[in-house]
Amino acid sequence: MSDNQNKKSSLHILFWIWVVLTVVGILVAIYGIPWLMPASASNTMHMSILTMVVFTVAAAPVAALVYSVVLFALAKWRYRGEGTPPDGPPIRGNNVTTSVWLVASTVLTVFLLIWGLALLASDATGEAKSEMTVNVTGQQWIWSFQYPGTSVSSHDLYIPVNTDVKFDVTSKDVVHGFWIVQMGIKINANPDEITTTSVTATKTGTFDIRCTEICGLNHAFMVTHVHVLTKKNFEHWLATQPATI
Amino acid sequence: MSDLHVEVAAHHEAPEIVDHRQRLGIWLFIGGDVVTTGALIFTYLYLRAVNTNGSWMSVVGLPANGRSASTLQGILDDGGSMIKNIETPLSAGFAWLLVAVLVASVGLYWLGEVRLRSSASGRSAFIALSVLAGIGLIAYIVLSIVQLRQVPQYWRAENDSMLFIYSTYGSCMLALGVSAIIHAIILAFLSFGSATRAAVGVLSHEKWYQARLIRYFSVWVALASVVLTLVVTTLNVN
Amino acid sequence: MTSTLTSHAPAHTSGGGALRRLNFVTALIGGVLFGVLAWWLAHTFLDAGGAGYSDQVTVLTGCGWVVGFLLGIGALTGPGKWFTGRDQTHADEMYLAGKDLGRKRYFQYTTDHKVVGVQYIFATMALLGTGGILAMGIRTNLLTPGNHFVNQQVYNGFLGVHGMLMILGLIVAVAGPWANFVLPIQVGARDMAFPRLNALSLWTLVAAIPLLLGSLAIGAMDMGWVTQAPIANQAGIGFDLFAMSIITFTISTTVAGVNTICTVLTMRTKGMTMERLPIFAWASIFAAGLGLYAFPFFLVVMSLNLADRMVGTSFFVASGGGTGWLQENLFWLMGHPEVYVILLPAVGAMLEIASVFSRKPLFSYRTVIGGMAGLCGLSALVWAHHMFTTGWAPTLGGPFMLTTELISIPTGVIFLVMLGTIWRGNIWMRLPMVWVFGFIANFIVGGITGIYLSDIPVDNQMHGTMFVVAHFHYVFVGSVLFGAIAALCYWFPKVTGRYLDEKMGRISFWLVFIGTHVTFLAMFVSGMRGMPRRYSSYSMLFEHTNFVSTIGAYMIMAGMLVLLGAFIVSWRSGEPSGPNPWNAKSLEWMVPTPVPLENFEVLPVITSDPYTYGEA
Repeated sequence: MSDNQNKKSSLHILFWIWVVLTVVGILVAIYGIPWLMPASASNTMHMSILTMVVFTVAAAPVAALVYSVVLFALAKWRYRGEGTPPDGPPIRGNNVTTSVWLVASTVLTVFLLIWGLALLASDATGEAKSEMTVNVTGQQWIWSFQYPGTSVSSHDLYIPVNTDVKFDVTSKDVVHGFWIVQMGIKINANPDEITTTSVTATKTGTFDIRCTEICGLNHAFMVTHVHVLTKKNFEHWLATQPATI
Repeated sequence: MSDLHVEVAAHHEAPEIVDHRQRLGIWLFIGGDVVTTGALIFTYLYLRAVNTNGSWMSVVGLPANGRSASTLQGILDDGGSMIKNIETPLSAGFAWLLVAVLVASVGLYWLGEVRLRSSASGRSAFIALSVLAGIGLIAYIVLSIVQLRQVPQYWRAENDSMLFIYSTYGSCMLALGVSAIIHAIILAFLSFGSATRAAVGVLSHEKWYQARLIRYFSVWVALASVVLTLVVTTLNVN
Repeated sequence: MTSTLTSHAPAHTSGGGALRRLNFVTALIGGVLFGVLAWWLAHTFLDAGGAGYSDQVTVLTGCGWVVGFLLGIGALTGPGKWFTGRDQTHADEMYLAGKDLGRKRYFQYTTDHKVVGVQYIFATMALLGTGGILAMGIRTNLLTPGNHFVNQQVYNGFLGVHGMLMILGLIVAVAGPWANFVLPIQVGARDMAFPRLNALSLWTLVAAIPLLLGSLAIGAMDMGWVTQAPIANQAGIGFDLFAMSIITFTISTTVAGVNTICTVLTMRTKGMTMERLPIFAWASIFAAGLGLYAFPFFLVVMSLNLADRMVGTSFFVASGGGTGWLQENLFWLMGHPEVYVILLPAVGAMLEIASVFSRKPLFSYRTVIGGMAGLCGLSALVWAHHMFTTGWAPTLGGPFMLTTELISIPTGVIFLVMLGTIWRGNIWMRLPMVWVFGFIANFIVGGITGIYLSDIPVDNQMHGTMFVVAHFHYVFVGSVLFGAIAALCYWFPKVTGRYLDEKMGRISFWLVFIGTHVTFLAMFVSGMRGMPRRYSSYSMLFEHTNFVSTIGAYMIMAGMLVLLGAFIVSWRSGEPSGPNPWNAKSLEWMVPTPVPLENFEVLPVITSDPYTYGEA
């Protein structure tokens, strides 16, 4: 009887470890992730960060469960005697536990799926309404941007704010990865192929472009910047550029 | 002495058990080979479907089949120019001839196995038929090399060096051809090996099932060649 | 049959034939001789003006090395004898199994599965050790920005060869030593199904290792371990040896995989039904079967890449009509199943350990088998999640996201079974169990960060960054390496009759465990803040996290060196353990240590599974 009660109260402790770890996990998700990620400069990036927060919140109870069982087992069930411990209870399985576990993990997975597919669908509808196109060309180890309808080309990217910009990306030699860090978009630049991605910058400023596919010696130095200007400033910039064809 | 006896007994497993194990082994190897062949078919169909730059069956360069490097260099030096060549598929008739030779060889080997199994006197028939199968396979290898030489090949100057190049169709035919030749070499080794083994009496009527293991692999190779030839003779022009 | 016995049995010390004179040294001599011969022939007869000339010479030299090595070790005498109808006599087989050969048998084409297992331990140590040294080179270069340690060219070579050495090393880390040493005994067999193929798989692997190291020496490789085209076509001739090494390796694993499956399916002793198999045996056949599916793609993608370089085919050359996306598809068709080929044997070994050291039956045996089957099936359907940002088939993003997220359900099953087995057990914290606890703590991090990456919008941000590197290192180092070390600590007494030193083992554990978290948590932060992977240098923004990662990496290396020290000391003079130090119930602990040739005097009859703790 007392043994049974002892067992119950100790499982109580397990429960509270789990609660504490879950809360810690959720706090890390809500405050840690946005702090570690670059400040977003587009809705796409905003949604990426939000997704990471939401997924971490969803995963926190699972991870907390694993950690709390591990900690509890080490503290409570560890055999402290000499030699081989006596045999434990012959538990060969528990249908209720297994079912609950499977159902819970399936529910979580379905939630992640619906979240991801919904996000993907909203991204896809965004692509149709692009207002301007920029041709992006990667080559070892430099990016070039060409603005169709003009003869302007540059090695820094200039785009107007609050405008949906489509990027047609290709490469002159090997595969490069076109990534605007603070805007959460990335697409490979393949030779003899054109790949596309699009984004709407939501704030003006200067952001980073880095290559994400190994492309030879100076892969690490294949960096440039994107300057997001107001629409007026962008028109002005475009009009004052010398033709470079 | 009794110690030795225990060891010998340990090794003595019933032939059926050993055969069962070896059959499973062969099937697993064939499984791996199926994936390999599947990857090559995937490559063929993928490249044909995407047809990047319309280059499935066309290449810019000098047609190079049957010409030596120095001849080609001479043509270039005399002002010959590299043109866009439009290819036609390799002869379907020749491809099916190859399949026929392979299937016939495998059939001969199978027939030999049947004779070996049916009676103790079938051993000499088995020897003769496996030698014939081996000869057939060598013919197949020679014909395959003849076919590989038909794969349209071009000569192109690039930077400072000269190179032979192939269209993606030609590349795939080359890969499939080399794969077929490697398989045929293994089969020829196994066929002639069966013949010598039967000749020295290791492979006998009682052990006919050892020939069956080889037949499993040969039938798969023949089947694969039929499927591959079906693919490359029907789904070739883009 | 009888006549064979009488004529050859008395002469059992004189078997072996030509193999008596062949060993590792003759293999090296043969490899070098044939390599040089092939190089000379290629130089003399090939057209030096062709563009693929240097690649043709390099590949032929590599082929010469492999053939010469196998000839020199005696791998080709078997086929030769078969062809001429002079089958192995019983005396030959005994010689091949290493009977009465003493220590010499570890340097020969020996078929005894226990010898092959030990040889695999050392092959694994060679692979992981050199891979680890290269990792130190990479991390040292990243200690500060600016390529102060090595130049970019050397750094890029380090990246590719480190990746491939570690991948090959981890593929064999558990399946190599333990599916050979332990598995046949576990199922109650006297040897593997095909002992000579077993030796073949080991020595082909050994032949592949110098090619990989040689590729680094002749260098100029910028392609990373994924050998993406067309950067792989630009790489120097080192790439030819790199690809040759992988082609050789795929042959080795295919042979080993067939052997493992046949052993478990056909060599089980009486009463050892599939339902009574130790879980390690199940994990091994799942991994071997998955390898049979995955590695042919590896063979094909490397062969096609070599063809592009050597003879001017255009498989992956966009200007010639090919496409790099084909290379990526073929590579990842191999690449994702391979992750589970690596993971499953480690998980199987750790489930054994969890049961033994909790003194409890395995929790929900059938569920975990189902989970492993699910992992195998799904892993063949998720390859394009490595290609979300490559631009290939954007419409397939949704389906591949679905399959990828589904894989978290069978992965969860592994956690359930692990925790269920520990639950309310009497946990014996000996060295193997310490590493298993480390695995549980690490694998949850690797698993959850994988879920982020399966989500396409997040992957669009994270793909190609240090975040991905940290994620898969949590899986490979934090989980698989921990599992491999746990397995080593667990079965070490069976191999040597001695315990692996508990004290040094624990020091090693804490160094590696803390080092793993320091290195890879900091690396997550580098990735989240925007540092792409495969960078030889970086902006000041990533200075602190990279410094921390490097310090952590040094801790891991220090821990591994302590483990190596423990291994050497314990092998020579560790505390004697007796045949069953853990009081475990599976068959390998029922035979004497050292395990006699052919394992069992009389084959045992099995009446239950090995998890009857608290029941009998």
